[in-house]
Amino acid sequence: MMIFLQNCIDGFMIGGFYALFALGFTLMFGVMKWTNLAYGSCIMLGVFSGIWMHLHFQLDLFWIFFVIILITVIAGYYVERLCYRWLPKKAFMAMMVSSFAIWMQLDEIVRIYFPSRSYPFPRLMDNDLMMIGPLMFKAEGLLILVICGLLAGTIFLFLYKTRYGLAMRAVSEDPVASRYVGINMPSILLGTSIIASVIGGIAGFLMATSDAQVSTEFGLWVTYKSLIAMTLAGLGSIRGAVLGGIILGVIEANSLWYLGAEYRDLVSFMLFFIVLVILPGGLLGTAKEQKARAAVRRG
Amino acid sequence: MIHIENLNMYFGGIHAIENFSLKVNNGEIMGLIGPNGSGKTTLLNVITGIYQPQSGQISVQNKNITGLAPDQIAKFGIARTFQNIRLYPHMSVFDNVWVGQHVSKEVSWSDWFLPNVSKEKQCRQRVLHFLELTGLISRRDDLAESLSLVEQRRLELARALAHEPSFILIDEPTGGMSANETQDMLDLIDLTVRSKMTCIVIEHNMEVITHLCDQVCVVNFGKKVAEGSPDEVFRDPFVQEIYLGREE
Amino acid sequence: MDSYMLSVLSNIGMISFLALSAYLLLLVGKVSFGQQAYFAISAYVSAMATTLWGCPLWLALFFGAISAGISATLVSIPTLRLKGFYFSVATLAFAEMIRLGLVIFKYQVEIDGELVGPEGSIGFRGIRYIYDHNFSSVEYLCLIYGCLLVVIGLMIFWEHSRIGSIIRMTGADELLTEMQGINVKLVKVLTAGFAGTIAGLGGGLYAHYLTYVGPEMFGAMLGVHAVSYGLIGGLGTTFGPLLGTLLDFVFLKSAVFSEYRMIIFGGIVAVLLIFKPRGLLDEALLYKIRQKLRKPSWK
Repeated sequence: MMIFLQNCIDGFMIGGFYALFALGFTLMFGVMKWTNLAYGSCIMLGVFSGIWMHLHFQLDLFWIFFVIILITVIAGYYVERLCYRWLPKKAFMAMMVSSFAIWMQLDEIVRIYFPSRSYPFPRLMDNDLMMIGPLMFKAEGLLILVICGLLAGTIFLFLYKTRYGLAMRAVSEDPVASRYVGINMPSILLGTSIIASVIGGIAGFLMATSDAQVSTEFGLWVTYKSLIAMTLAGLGSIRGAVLGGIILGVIEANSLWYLGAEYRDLVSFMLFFIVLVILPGGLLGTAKEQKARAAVRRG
Repeated sequence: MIHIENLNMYFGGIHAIENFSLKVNNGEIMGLIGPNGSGKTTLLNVITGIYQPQSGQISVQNKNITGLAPDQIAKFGIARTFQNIRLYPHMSVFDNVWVGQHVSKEVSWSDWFLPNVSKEKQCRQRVLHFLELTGLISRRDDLAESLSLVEQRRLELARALAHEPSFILIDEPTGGMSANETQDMLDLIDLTVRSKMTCIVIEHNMEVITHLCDQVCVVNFGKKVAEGSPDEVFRDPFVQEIYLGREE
Repeated sequence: MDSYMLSVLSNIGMISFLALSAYLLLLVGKVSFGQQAYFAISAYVSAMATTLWGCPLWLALFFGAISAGISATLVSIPTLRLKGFYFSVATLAFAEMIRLGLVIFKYQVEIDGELVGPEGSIGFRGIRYIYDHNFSSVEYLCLIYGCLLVVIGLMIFWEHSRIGSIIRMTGADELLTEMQGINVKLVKVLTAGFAGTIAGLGGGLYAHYLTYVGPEMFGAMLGVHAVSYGLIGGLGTTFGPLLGTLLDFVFLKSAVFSEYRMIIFGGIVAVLLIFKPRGLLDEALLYKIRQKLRKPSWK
């Protein structure tokens, strides 16, 4: 039982990251109706730019953080222009396909300049372990979890308490109607993309300092985790993304312990596949959706 | 014969079709009229299997087709046209009609994979025949999307005819047409459909209804409010009220 | 012909199977990122058939293709009713499941005092059939292209039959196609099964050519490339994906571009999707060509 709880705690820690990545990804999916498969790659580009800066200029952590965010946002802007803005509004599939082409592109850029499998990254703080009762916590992990929580909370407040956030939610519900009430679509869409990039960049930075290293598979990894987390708790739902990330983390931690490292990812993907096929509304599925679909056959 | 009994169709809280019953005899042309939004196209959609009704029954030649999938219903010999025109825009005019034959009794499963040369030649002749009938023979190699509205409506009809159906459901064939074009369309439907198949036609143009239909059914808010010959129906004061309003 | 040229041509031939497989699914309107799963399944099955069970090559290729085809058919039943994005992501999930499964899969048999067979992440070594049976490189190339030509021939024949038009109709407008009396579900499942079989045939040939297969070879990148070939080359004809495959190999092998291949390739896909969403040899172009040749409009 204790082991299970410990696993859950470990899962919570990593789940925090997944939640943030999923949050950024879902913002784009929900508000812009865009499946940005290059999301992970943009973050990877940002993180590796930070590493490059660190290797060549010995900057301290604050500046690295700044560079990461900056590059992620720029990469995100590039992807948004190429894969989203210049395509016709209804071409959802083309947007997704285009973004994976850019995913290939950005991955390759990183691989050219960083041929090794993984690279070191400076730590934020020392790896102290804390004990609360029989359960073990990484001090750094807690800090990061708190930061994740604050960030997610800020996004929620932004979405639900500000005019801009309201506009974003309006666009995600009904883009045409939003135009009619005077919402500046291009600005909202660009803003969403930038916010998503910033969140991704922060999460990437936190992940890198926590692990003290980054691998060149990072981009693909982030994209996968975001997709799975977003799907697990219900696609397009922003609250769901955060929950999905945490759930994914907990499931992974437990699979790792009970089944072994090899099975951990397999279980995640199996769950992913099953949820997609059987419960497209996610584990916390929108029962509303299922009922509405039952009433009419097609059309 | 098409027999609709006590059909009910709900979309969430909207009662789109309410206790609707109708009998269309073999060889009859039944007109379906009513204000916009009264449920006429929805009725066609239910008959052709796009929507599943919550209650009621639809039978064709005494066989129950309620709740079947559209492809199964098409195999019963039911073809339709669409109010908003639904063609394969990137296929040629010829091909758009040719695809209507996939379901005709002439073509079997194995013909899909191993075309029988002489059969295909016959099929080709049939397609050309329908194109000639609908006046599209000169446009047969053009892309469907390059056709004018009138030509596209005729193409839809040609495709429906290529099914060699027993029942044809025509949805607003003269929508957006001038008086001359309407007359041409009327003549075309008369020529191709009368005495050859059973037909339900949705129309707003009363001239078309009067000249074409044997019987007329009036729908309002999803309910049948009148039925009879065109003359009877147009003289009905309630029908006049629905369309023209009441004098205060 | 020098051995380098032979190797390039062989690779083009084998990857073409994968490109054709993804193309078929594109025709029914689905973007599959997971055809590499069937490539992998068949690679392993046919390799086991020759190495562990002593089957002749033709039988092994047959088993491989059939097992891939059956898997594809089974997977398609639950997934083909999913809409665009969901379907694509589900195929990706399934392919990753297969890959991760292969990382775990160990099945070794003692043959002549040695342990042979798939060894999880280490891979499957010693697929020596073509060397044990003295196949020359040229003979194997002929085998590859022989099989490829049969597949292409079949596809072109069916392109001009009713089934070809039915498949394209399904991709263009499913509901309208259903109303023409066609069981769209069946068409999609059959197409997916056939596509899986084609990918499988390629996979079997691939395993024996390389004498080694491992799970790392069947990642998402392979599947993503396969789909790009059809999208770039064009969806109007069977030659489209073949053109796409050829273009990619030209970039890879041309010395100037080889280092930046993915960057350029990815960029091309993204830009092409803006202007020519159905590829270079799209239906519009094929239509114009047919007009020029004044082909009579019967098949």
